[in-house]
Amino acid sequence: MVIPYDGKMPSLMSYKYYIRPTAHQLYGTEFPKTQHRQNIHKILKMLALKGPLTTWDMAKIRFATDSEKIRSKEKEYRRLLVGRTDRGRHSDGIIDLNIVLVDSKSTKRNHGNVYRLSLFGILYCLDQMNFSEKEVDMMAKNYKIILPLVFGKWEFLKSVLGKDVYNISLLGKGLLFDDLNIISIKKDEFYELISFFGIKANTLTGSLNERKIAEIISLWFYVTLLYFPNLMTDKKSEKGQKILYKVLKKDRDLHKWFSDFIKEASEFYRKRLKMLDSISIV
Amino acid sequence: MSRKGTILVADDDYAVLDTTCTLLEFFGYNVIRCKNGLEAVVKYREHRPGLVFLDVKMPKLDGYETFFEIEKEFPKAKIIFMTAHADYSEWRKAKDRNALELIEKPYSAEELKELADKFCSK
Repeated sequence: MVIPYDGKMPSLMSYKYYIRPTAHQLYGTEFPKTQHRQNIHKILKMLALKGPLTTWDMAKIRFATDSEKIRSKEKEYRRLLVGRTDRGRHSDGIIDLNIVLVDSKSTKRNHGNVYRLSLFGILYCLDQMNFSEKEVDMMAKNYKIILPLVFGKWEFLKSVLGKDVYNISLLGKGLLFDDLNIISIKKDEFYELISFFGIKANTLTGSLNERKIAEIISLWFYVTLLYFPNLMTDKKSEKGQKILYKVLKKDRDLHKWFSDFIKEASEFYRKRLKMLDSISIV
Repeated sequence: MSRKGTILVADDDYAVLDTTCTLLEFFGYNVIRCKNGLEAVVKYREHRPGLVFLDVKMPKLDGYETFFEIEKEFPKAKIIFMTAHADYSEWRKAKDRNALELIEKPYSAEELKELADKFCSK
């Protein structure tokens, strides 16, 4: 059972500018060559595809029946996850980078911590694990509780959007649109909404927990539906808007949630416009 | 998945390199990333990409030096320059030797896609 984490979490900006580059540096990119990095990728892959696990469960996946090997692998996995302290010096584990979290305590006989991917871990896996569509589907199923507006509606979204759902991996690659220069300003509604998304994502930093980050990720996902379909078609149609409308029309909760976001954006711009109008030199 | 072709991108600014490469991959291209001109020359020899995006200001070899180095061995190489500070004298020399375009930073995703689709060959 996955439980959303209520403690303080870093922002999506932090994912883009610190967590992701640091993870690349420490754990290597797509196909790691060293044993250490391969083990870390194996842990992340198991957590993505099997959901929350104890280190014992992970070791058992590798060595089904050999209890000696399971025991030594379990220790190794635990060390990689929580780091180690040797002669007073602590070396960081994967947990210290906020890619993996302690989800709960196991209720089994050997009760240890149950680990799972954090939202940043999910993004990192989308970026680096070279998952097939089927594997992304499995991860979506395992983590639907912590990303309810996207992974919680994954099958529905696939039925409407087809392969476009997998564009979420672009967020994993850090394409946050915080640099607005990459967007042609001609795409009006997208430009306005993604700008507001950036403002919203940046102003929440003081009180971020996993639920709020999940909402920000979901906003990115639905706002970019206005953009990517248009970008991929040669016709200058309103395809993006139509696709977003199609999704929202079929799901009342999503419709309400996204309408509230648009209202919030409109209110924001209305206030800003008033401020501009009040400049006395005009 | 069959890709549309291979593009080499060289830029010493990590953020620009990362965004450019992510977008090109999204548009369906295989992408080779390089952090400087020297690496671009070596990787060009190795992969013979269908199109190259070169930043003008780079360490080790700048964009124009990289262009002339590649062009010496591969006169048909398709190369586009990206710059935030245009040096037109060098650009004219490069253009005379079949450089394709000089685009100014920042460029939009649409512009990038248009250039890749127009010039990249498999």
